[in-house]
Amino acid sequence: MPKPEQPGWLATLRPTATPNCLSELQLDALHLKTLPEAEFNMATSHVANCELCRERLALRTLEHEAFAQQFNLGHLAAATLEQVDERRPRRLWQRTLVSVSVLAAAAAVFLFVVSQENFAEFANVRLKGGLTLKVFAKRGADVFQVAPGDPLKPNDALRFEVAPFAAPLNVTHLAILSIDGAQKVSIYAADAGGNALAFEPMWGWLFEGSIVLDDTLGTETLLAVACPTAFAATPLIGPLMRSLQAEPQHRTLAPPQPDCVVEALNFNKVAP
Amino acid sequence: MDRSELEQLYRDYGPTVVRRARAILGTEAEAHDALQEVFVILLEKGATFREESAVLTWVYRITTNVCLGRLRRSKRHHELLQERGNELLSNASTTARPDSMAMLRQLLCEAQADEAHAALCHFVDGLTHSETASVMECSRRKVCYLVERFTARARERWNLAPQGEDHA
Repeated sequence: MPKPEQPGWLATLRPTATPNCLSELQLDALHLKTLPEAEFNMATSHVANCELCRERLALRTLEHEAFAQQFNLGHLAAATLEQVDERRPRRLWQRTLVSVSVLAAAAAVFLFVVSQENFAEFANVRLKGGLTLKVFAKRGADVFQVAPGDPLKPNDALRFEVAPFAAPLNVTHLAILSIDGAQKVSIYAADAGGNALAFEPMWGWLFEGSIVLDDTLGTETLLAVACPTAFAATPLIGPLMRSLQAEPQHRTLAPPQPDCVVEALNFNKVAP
Repeated sequence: MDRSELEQLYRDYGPTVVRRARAILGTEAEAHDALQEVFVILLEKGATFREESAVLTWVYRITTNVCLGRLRRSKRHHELLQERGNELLSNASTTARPDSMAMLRQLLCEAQADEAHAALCHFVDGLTHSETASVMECSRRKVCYLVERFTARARERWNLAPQGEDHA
């Protein structure tokens, strides 16, 4: 696909002396002395030969001085900490993640593996593609983001985040269900009462608490269901379990509300 | 984090936040309003901070997200549409130089979040696609795609040369 010609006015947003001039990020990193050594040497060499970048760097020093004079940093820090504390109680009830194991060990093993393609054939679910769920895994001392298809391992601890603007702005409640390699359906994210968790679609949301994966191997499908108003997640389990027994084209997941969005993410849980 | 540590964080990164917020939102007052919001989110999300990512790229990302949120919610968005949108769309032969940032803000309000974020990093901050990918924690290929999509949108809405002539 040919690249669109860039309108001329876009180029006026950031006049630079040369295409090699330092970006805003590089200049900030140079000023804060956080550049790796090789980049630092290249940047300082460029600044030595570029009047515009020298001016921009000097402006940063002035900005920092002005900032410290303009703001009472002690008061600002105190007010910020206070605001963080004020927001915390509102989310206390979200801290409990309930993992409900519905199938008993003696239950029949489902023969179907739910893939994202299969899930897309659920008859009355609109996969708007309007929800992006980020999944972070903690394995030992390492914390990293996992993408669909990435391997997970037993005892990995998962946390979930909806990034800012990663959901339609009218959805405010989210529940996450999972279907593991043994076709066991669980609730990964809900409150203690099995209800969806409230979040701010504008700002994004990091859900408190984490889920530790058991040692069932195979495909782990996470279903994130987000709706405009509060809803109970527990009632979704039964219909989801029943639908897994049907042929893919007959599988349904009745959304709790008309304007819900659903995202399905598949991971592969492998042996350690 | 205690108060003195947060003070130092403000000292180090506060000016960067204000500068970027001022560029995106257009006024000093709105930039100052955004400042504390950014640091509140920084503190709240501190648990997920991956140390291999530079703090600065993290600050960039959160600042952009906060400002885009404010931009979209702001009444100013409607003012921009009223003042600039009609003027620019109907007065095709204007010789006055369009306010590029006002045009950009209008497009940012309309674009999807990732697209707006990539556009800000690339066109306002002058970040390369690789740097933008680092800030947004996505692939360089995705950044290329987002920037191209934004450029196509900009061209479709206002394909004006710097002299202000309409190239429609």
